[in-house]
Amino acid sequence: MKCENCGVNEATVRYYQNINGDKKQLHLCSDCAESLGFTSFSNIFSPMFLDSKNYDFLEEPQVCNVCHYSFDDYLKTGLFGCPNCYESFQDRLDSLFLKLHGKTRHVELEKENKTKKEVTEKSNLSKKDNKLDELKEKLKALIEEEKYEEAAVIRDKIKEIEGK
Amino acid sequence: MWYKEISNDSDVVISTRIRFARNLDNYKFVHMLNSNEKNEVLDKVKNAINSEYKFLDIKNIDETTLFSLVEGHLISKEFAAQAEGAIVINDDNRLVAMVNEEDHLRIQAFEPGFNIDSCYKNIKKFTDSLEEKLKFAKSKKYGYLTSCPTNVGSGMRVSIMLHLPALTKIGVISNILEQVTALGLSVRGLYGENTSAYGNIYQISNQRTLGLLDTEIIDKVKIVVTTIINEERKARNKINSYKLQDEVYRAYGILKNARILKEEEALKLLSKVRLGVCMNIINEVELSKVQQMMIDTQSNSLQVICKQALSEKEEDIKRAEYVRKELD
Ligand SMILES: [Zn+2]
Ligand SMILES: [Zn+2]
Repeated sequence: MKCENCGVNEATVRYYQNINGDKKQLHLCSDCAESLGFTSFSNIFSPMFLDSKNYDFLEEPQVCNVCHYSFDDYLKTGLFGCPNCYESFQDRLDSLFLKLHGKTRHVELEKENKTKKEVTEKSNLSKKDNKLDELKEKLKALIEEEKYEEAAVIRDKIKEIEGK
Repeated sequence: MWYKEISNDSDVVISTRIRFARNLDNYKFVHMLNSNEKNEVLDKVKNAINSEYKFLDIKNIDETTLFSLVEGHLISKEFAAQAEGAIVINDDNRLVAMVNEEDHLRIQAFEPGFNIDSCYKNIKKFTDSLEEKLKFAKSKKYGYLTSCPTNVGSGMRVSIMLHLPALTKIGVISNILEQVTALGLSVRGLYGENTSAYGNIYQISNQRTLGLLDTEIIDKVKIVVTTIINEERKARNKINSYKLQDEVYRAYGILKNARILKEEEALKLLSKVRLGVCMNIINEVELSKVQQMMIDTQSNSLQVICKQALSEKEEDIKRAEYVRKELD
């Protein structure tokens, strides 16, 4: 493995970093280790190191926490290591999927939204149907009782709902 | 076997295949598994299928038989070449699943001719019954999770195998294939290199699998393939002539009389005869027989039929013998 700082020399030293349980590894050649000030383990946690922009190569190890496959491994093999890789690499997947599929999300999400909409529409519809039936019953009863004035009001209401 | 049957649009479409890629939850993808884990996957699948299907460990299948399945397009070459895996297969080979190929499960349904709907019905039935017993890797965001992200989402690949000799002959095939590619489908010549495909057999498949309903994928393939079928038929009407009849009968004559027949030559000649049969130029042989010979004259399939291992020289002689017998 090459040094992750200069990319030229063979890495001979490995440093570990543990931030809130998030373990990261750093492989360096001895020259870089020295020039970066990693002469002892404790230096890794020095504030100077963590704040410095020079060390942002530390930020993205991009390794799947289940199978330890890296995104670089994917670029080499064209395959992911395990189902969890999809979660581990999700930041990089939208652009990848856009290239491969022209879309970024599974269709069921869209479908679910669609069905939800259809369901609410349907339930609105059935509410409407119920009300209509109710009014028609009432109309029938009023006509039977010969209450024509009231019946006319109900009839107009029915017309209004049916017209919608 | 289904490939000898004649069905919808068999004059142009040889076969329809639908493939589902599925993986078991809680396992790494196949290329990351050790032998023990691979065996666990095999056992899980074995215990989940019902008695309608045979479960064949490929360790117990001899190489010639295995590669004859490759020649019948029932399994992939890569799968046949590996040591660990299994095949789940039903009686008439309409359903063939590869276990531990690139994904834990590559389930395939086949039909002769252009029959996407019945393929889909079959594969869905089998896969749903498996999904009752096995938990597949699936996420809300991305759908079915597959080893290669080109299959993620539906995990579905619809492939149609087409015989397009007339479009090839009038010189528009590369143009048509380019247009198909531009529509987001993939095309490949089945024999030889893409640019010099012999036998005039092409496979068209959907390329995209994410963010699309199965029915949307199917509809797209249906529309494109239907258009190609019509174009091929139009082209066949255009090229019908004495010259073509002569070509067809010459091909038939060689097949009926040759004493030495190479695999590639046999396929080229059978391609011509197939065209002649479909255009009613020649009635001496049935389409189903031509279809069968196109599979059976391939090296491994031939050796399975002859029940013996053959050197290349012997093979060419046996092939000629087999074809003569079939056409008699
Ligand atoms: Zn260095
Ligand atoms: Zn992983």
